This record gives sequence, C-alpha cells and structure tokens, in this order.
Amino acid sequence: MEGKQRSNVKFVFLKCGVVSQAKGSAYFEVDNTKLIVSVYDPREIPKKTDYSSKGELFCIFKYAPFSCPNRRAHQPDADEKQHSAIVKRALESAVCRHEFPNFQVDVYILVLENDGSALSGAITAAGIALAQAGIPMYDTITAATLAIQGTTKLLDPTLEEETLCTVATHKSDTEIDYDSHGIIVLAMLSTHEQISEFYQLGNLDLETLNESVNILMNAAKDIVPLVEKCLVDYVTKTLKSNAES
Amino acid sequence: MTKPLICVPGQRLCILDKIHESGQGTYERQGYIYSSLAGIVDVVDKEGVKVVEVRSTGEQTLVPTQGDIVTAQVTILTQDFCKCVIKCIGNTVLSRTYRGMLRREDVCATDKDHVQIYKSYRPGDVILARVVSFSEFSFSKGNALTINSYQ
Amino acid sequence: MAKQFKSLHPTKFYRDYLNHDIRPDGRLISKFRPVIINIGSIATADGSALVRIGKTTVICGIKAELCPPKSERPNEGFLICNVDLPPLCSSKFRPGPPSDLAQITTRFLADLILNSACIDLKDLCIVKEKLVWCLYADIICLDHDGCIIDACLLVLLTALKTVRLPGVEYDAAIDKKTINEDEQKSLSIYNTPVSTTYAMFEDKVITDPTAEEEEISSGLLTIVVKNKELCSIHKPGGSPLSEEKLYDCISETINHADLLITLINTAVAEQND
Repeated sequence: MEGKQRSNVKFVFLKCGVVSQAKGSAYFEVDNTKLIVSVYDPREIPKKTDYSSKGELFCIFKYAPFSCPNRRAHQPDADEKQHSAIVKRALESAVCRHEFPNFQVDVYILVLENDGSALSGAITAAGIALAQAGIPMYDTITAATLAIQGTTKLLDPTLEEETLCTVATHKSDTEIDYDSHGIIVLAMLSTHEQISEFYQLGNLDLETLNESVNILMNAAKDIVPLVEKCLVDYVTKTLKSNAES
Repeated sequence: MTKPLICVPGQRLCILDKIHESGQGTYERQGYIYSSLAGIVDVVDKEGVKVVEVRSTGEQTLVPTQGDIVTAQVTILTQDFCKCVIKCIGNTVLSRTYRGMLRREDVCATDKDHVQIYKSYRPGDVILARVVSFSEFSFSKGNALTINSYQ
Repeated sequence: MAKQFKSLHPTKFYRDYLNHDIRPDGRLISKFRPVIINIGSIATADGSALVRIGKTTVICGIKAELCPPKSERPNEGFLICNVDLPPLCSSKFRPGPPSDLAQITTRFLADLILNSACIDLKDLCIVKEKLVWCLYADIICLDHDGCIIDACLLVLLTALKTVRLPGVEYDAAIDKKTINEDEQKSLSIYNTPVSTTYAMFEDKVITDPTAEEEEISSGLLTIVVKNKELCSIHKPGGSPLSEEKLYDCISETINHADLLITLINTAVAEQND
C-alpha cells in the first residue's frame, strides 16, 4: 500500500436506456462496482402549497441488501441518506431548474454491487440518465473519487482501499498529529469547468488538497468523452429506429 | 440529406450575435449559444434571423405552462369546479399525466353566474382547454370547449 | 393520432387489436416473451441471478449468515425471501414502506417455497440446536413490465441453485466457529416450480401480459406447476373464469414449464464448467 500511486481512471462501462419503464436510465460499471440509475418525468411536488420559480430534484441513493460484504437492511440508513443529499447537490447545478417550475424530477439510484467509488459513479450515471430523459441541463456532469493515505493517492479506490484510507494513522510514534488521510469525491461540469460538488472525509493538509483537486479534475475530464460517446450512440440508435418505423 | 448533427448537453454551438439566436433546447452564456439537451441540432430561418434549436430524439420533457392548450379528461365534479387529468399538451401525448382544475367561473365566457357544471361536463369527458394560472397544488384552465363525450 | 387514441381510450384501443387475436406490439395473444437468464453476476453475494422476461428485469442476491435455530425447530435453517419493487422500476411505485404488490409477492413466494418443498431446511443445519444457516434472498425488480411473480420465482430458484456455502466447523464447548472457504457446498434443490401469468380481458385470456396489458385487464391469474403437476394457483379477485379456460391455461403452463426448466439447468451447468 505504501507509495502506490494510481492517477489513471479505471476502465468504465456505461450504457443508457436500460430501464424501459423509466424516461431516462443508465448503467455504470467500473471493476466490480455496478449500479443502475433511473430518472422519471417531472411530477407535481406533493404537499406543496406555494409557487416557486425553480423545479426540484428528488434523489434517492440506495445500496441493494446484497451489494456489500455485510448485508444491509432495507431501511435507508444514515450513509444512504447522506449520499442522496450529496448527489442532489451535485446535480442541482447541472440541471436547468427554471424549465420545470413547481415540479420535481425523480432520480433513483440502486447500487447492485459495491466495490468502492459508488458515489462518483452514481453522479456520472445520473447525469447520463437525465440527459437521456431529455431534462434540460447546462452541462455534462462527471465525478471521480480519490483515496489518500499519507503520500499514497489512489484514483477510483476499491472498497478495501476506501476502508484503509479512512483509518487515521499518526505521523510517527512521537507526534500527535495525524497523517493526511481521507477520501475526496469531486463532481465537475466539463465545458464550463465548474466544480459542482466537493465531498471530503478525513484529515488533509492544504498541499495534499491542492494536488488532489488537480488529479480529480483531470480524472473527471477523462470520463467526459465516454459520457459523450454513450449519449451520441443512444441518439444515433434512436434516430435509426425512428427512421425505420 | 446531410448527416444530422448530434450534440450533448453543454456543447458550445455557435456565437451569439445579431444573426444567431438561441431557440428551444439551448441557452446563452458569455456570448455563446450552448446546447441543453442530447439530440439533433436544427437551424431554422425566421425573418432573416437564424434560430438555433436542439430537438431531443425521445419525448420532449413538457410541463404545462401558462397559455398552453391542453387535452384533458374530466375525473371528479363538484358544484364549484371539476378536477381533470391532463393527457396531452398541444400535439404531444404525455407519458405522465398532470392534474388540473376547471373552476365554475371559467367554464363559459358569458353568463358566469348561471353556469351549472353538471350540465356542461360529466366524468369521462374529454375536453380541450387553455392553462390560465398556477394555484396551490394544481392549475386552472379557462375557456374550455367540449370536443367529445365518450364513455 | 394512434398515440392520442391510446392515451384517451385505452380499453377501446386494445379491444380493436384483440378482436383480431393480436396485440399492439405484434405478439399473438398466446405467445410468450423471450426469457434470458444470467448467473453469478454479483460477487459480494453467495448466490445471484438475473432474469429478463421480455423487458421485465429482476435480480436476486442471496446472502448466507450463521445463527442459532428456533427452539421449536432445532434442526432447520431459515430461508427468508423478500421482494422489493423500488420506485426505480416503474413510475407506479413511490419511495417508502413496501407497496401492497411487493408484500403480496413476498408472501406468495414464501408460501410457495414452503409448500412445494423445493429445498429442505434441514439441509441448512450445521449443528442441531446450536448453529444453522440463514439464507436471505433479496429480490429486486429493476424494470417492471408485467409478470412480476413469474420473474421473481424464476430468479429465486436459479439463485438458489447457484448458492455455494463454505464449510463450517463448530466447537460447542468453547463456542468457536471456523469457516473453511475452500470447501464449497451447493444446496440440493429437489424440484423446480415455475409459473406463468395470464390476464383476463373481457372474454379473452392473454398470455404473459405486459404492464400496460395488466393495467387494462379485468383480472390476473398466475399458475404454478412443478413436475408436470399443478402446484398452486393465484387469482386475486378479478372477473370470473370458466373451468374450460382454466384447464387450457394449466396445460399451456405445463408445456411452457419444460422450456423454462431447461433454460435454468443450461445456465447453471455453464457456470459449473
């Protein structure tokens, strides 16, 4: 683990239009992590009495009970609720909310197998699903995860690597200060080069933070051609089948 | 037939100036026109101005807004209003229906006091209406014309 | 124009098609949709399977845990199934507690497993009165396009056939469990119940309905067969069905069951290779 660096994004598999009942959907796979996202048309916000000029996003992030080494309960726990809020924040700046005032767009994320980097995968896949659903967006959104332990920086960590990097270790036997360690998830809008969500766990010093943000921004940019290709393939396929029918 | 130009959200399409204008499915920022949908780019000539539009291949995401003409089916009737379910906006059929409400005052343009809702509509009727405004949880329609009564 | 007609008057739209014995998507009313089975895709689960009937997609993951048995059944393990219909699979479902349909399906599957004796809970016992296996079978629907009970039953049985349990040694005196990952034991499945769903629409019986067809139908019927014999019938209300039509449905199910069982066995055999 010491001194290992990984600054290249792992091979990612993306597919959109996987759930026939949903307006937009996407499937994301990297190594062993698999997740599926579906997006539904804007619907009226329940229990809302006043008028607002912006629409709302409603995100639910869920781990399947068999997705983690220990079985998870069906009730959403604190982790899932927090991840739902993070995804919502990340997507809010990418979606043109003024186009559907007083309505809400539902985004449902289900992680089928969790081997690390599920949160960043969910944000990327949700962006694709929203674009496929025809929800107006300002930009394509992509995200990446970086795990840090001391001087080791690993992009797209596996579950084991993520758990190792959340453990605090002292700098040396005599010092009380902790070494830099943690996990950072960064979501970025590619064309406008704006960061829409920055989520950090752990303890980092400024230098490590600067380097990490640069690594993450490059990683997020690397995923953009894959996202674009996925959407273009989908549009081409739909055009062809529309022309045939 | 030229090959269609496909774009993704956030793709810069062209400069915003006197001859180029942003249309449906696009937005303007910092002097450029960007696409907001994943679909095909279309340039429409309108009175000498080129309007840049993006059309998505699937169903357009349409929500009922003020001034839209909608097709709805009546579900519940009371003395003062009737609730209906909006099924189409303009010519587009919706995959998800929305709720609407038609007040007694909005049924007829003239003679508003003597209108009896039960005599004008029955549950199951299909009506053509215009969206007037947003209110608490639904929105009103006005000037409805009954086009068809079908069981 | 057809789309508007379908949205405003769905029953008349379907009636026009069904009078010619064909469905809007071109399928004959007695034709089944293609079935696809995929095995072992989830590495974190002890057994997993994915089933696709037409567009309906269901995934099942089985996780095994060790626990003490119930005092009234000291030599039996547990198999707990749960069907989840999340809002992900269809716009009809809302987030929150399990919907009625999910609870009904869970209950039906639990009863079916018990009554058809397809697995013997005594096989899950390690040490009598002290330690047994508890299998949690979580079935999640990813895409709901009709025939949910058929898909859930199929995926549950396929996943059970792929379960690999490690060997366990238990020392009762010091309450120590040692798990031997190298020794992999599979579950013995004694028989394979399979089911098909029918929808009643006026006087016609439609085989393998999609979600749209289920909605406009006046009743649903699910028939479960095992070993060429009738195992269970599930008909929640709905319009009455004549005896003749019921027997027709049962024989159709028995014919189709052969195909499904061959499919499961081929998929499992390939995984073992």
